[in-house]
Amino acid sequence: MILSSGSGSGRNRYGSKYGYTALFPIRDADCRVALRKSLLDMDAHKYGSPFSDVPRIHLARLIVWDGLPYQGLPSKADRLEAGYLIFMCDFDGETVRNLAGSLVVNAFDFVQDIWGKCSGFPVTGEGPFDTNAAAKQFADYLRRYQVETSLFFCDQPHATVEEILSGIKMQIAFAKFVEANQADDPVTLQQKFRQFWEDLKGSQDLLPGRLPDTEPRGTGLGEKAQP
Amino acid sequence: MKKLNLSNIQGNILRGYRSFTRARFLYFSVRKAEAGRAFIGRLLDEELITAAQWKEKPDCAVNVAVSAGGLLAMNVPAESVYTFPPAFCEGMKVRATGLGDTGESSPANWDRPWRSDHVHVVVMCYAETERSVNEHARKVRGMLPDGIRELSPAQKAHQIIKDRLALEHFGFADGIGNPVVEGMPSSNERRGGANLVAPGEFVLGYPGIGGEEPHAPQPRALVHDGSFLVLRKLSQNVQMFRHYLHEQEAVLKRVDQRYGAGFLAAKMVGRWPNGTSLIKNPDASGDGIPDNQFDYRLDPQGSACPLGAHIRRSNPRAALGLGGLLSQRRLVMRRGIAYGKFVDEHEVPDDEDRGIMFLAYMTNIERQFEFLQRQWINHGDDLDQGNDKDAIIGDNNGTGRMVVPGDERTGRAPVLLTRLPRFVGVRGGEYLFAPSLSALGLLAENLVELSF
Repeated sequence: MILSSGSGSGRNRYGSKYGYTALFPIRDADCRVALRKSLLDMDAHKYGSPFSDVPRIHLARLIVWDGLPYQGLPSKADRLEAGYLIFMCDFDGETVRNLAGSLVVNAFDFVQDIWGKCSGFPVTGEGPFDTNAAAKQFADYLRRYQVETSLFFCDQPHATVEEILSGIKMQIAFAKFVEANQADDPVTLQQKFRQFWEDLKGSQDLLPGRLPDTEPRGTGLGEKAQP
Repeated sequence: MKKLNLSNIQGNILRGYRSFTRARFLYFSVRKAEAGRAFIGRLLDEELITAAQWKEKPDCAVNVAVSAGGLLAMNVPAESVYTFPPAFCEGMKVRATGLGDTGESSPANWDRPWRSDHVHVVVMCYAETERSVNEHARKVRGMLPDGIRELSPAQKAHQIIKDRLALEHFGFADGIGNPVVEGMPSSNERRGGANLVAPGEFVLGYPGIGGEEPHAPQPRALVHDGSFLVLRKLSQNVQMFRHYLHEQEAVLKRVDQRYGAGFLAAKMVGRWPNGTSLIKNPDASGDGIPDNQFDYRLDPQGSACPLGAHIRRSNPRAALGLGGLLSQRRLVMRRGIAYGKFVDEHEVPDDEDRGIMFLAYMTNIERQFEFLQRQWINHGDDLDQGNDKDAIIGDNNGTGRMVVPGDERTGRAPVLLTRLPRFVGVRGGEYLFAPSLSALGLLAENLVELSF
């Protein structure tokens, strides 16, 4: 991505996006194995990813980092003291608290499943659940392991998830309209278009991960794009 | 500039075999390392392997490429093999999902020998006559030691020549847009000295377009003057292609009479069947020879050549800015050759398989071939095409679309091609490495080692 020097950019920020990056130490070897499984299980989510339930997040990546490939010759063994969970995402918001709140409110089971395997995860979920308190605790936790950055992936810095979904909805509907009506005479076409426009305005917005008529697709090679 | 070592670089990489209209691809599996090495040694001893530069034109050109499995099977040290890029080490089958080799085109459905066997060594014979190809294939087979097995069937291929043009099965002139490589004899006349591409994009050991030498595996002696070869057997469904065009014509002629099947096909490809470009001839086929001296900067909306046309997607030239440098980073050297019987436009296609043996040479499979396939062919975002895939070779599933922009100059209305199926399927393939002649010598003598 290209960083602008205008307003809205700077540490962890670009346009109306916040770029969050962090390294969480994984508790132990058993947790590392379990964490890998949890990450694989994410694909089983009914909308492709648990992040589909968190409408603030654009793209998120979770990586288990447990080895150091040595680059160069001769090759030699190199190792990490602990495994780490790398978490990167860009979201609509201004602070880590926005991210923590959205994750806790919308995907608390997922949060527990993933971060519960990392050192120092504070939210136990026992007793009566206090969303505000949990969000605050989780925000403190996210800040503690955060890596500040001014360079992060941010595909559309000036549009919210909602705006992008609205654009996609319009694009899909318009393509269908053209497909069905492109050979009509101008008068009929205009009538149909007026009706189409009215219907579109009254139609329901798309929700993250729930796009009609599109194949589920990852980036293809390497990691899978989330959501 | 570093001089190209043309007597060491294998033939067909920097200079194509235009005059050799017949080809045969032989596939081998190495069971004993010594046998694999002895085979390569014999090919070298008999001076069968053809370099880029020859003193006298050979009757038949023979070239060799090896897969990662092949290097390991010939006992090249694993520490060396694993310095090769992941895509090469994993092989094409492992990369299938990202390449769009899914459904009918997935490796489980490939032809023999690709489906079940591990192709270690590919020997390619090119000649002017079928007789000469046969003779050389026989000669190569006669050199096989015990411990190396030929995987059948061998693949026949041939150029489809019509009106002095080499065609592919959809009826379009092919192999026109290849880059001209800096330092090649005659490159200056061919491009007036302009638009040359640095050799490091296609051969290891030379600077690429950024001026830097691309990352090369170790040891240098094994890889310098070598090139990665992406080999794919692509099956073209001519019947489906023609049927689709007529179906679309029936609908789209109601929008504008100009949208006949031939016009639509040209818009999908980006050229007219005789190879003349849509940029220079936007309304009807040019009557000249295939041209390559054009750019898309003056056609930002795609009125002449649609933004989603096959040749514009595969190489957007300067349309992405920076004087074309962004596109040059993705160029590959295409050396495809057709297989199967050609069906003239007046004939009805039979059920026989036909298509192209896709060969592309490059120095970085991931940056060049895989990027093209993933981002520009099977995805359209970079080219303002959203999720639309390449209409000709994309992995479409019957719901694909392509926008054919209108043209204000002639009053032609835009149309949308709809319900695109997959016209080109994958029947097999592998990521290979074509070592230099001297590196083949090292392989044969078991002298590949890493020194620290």
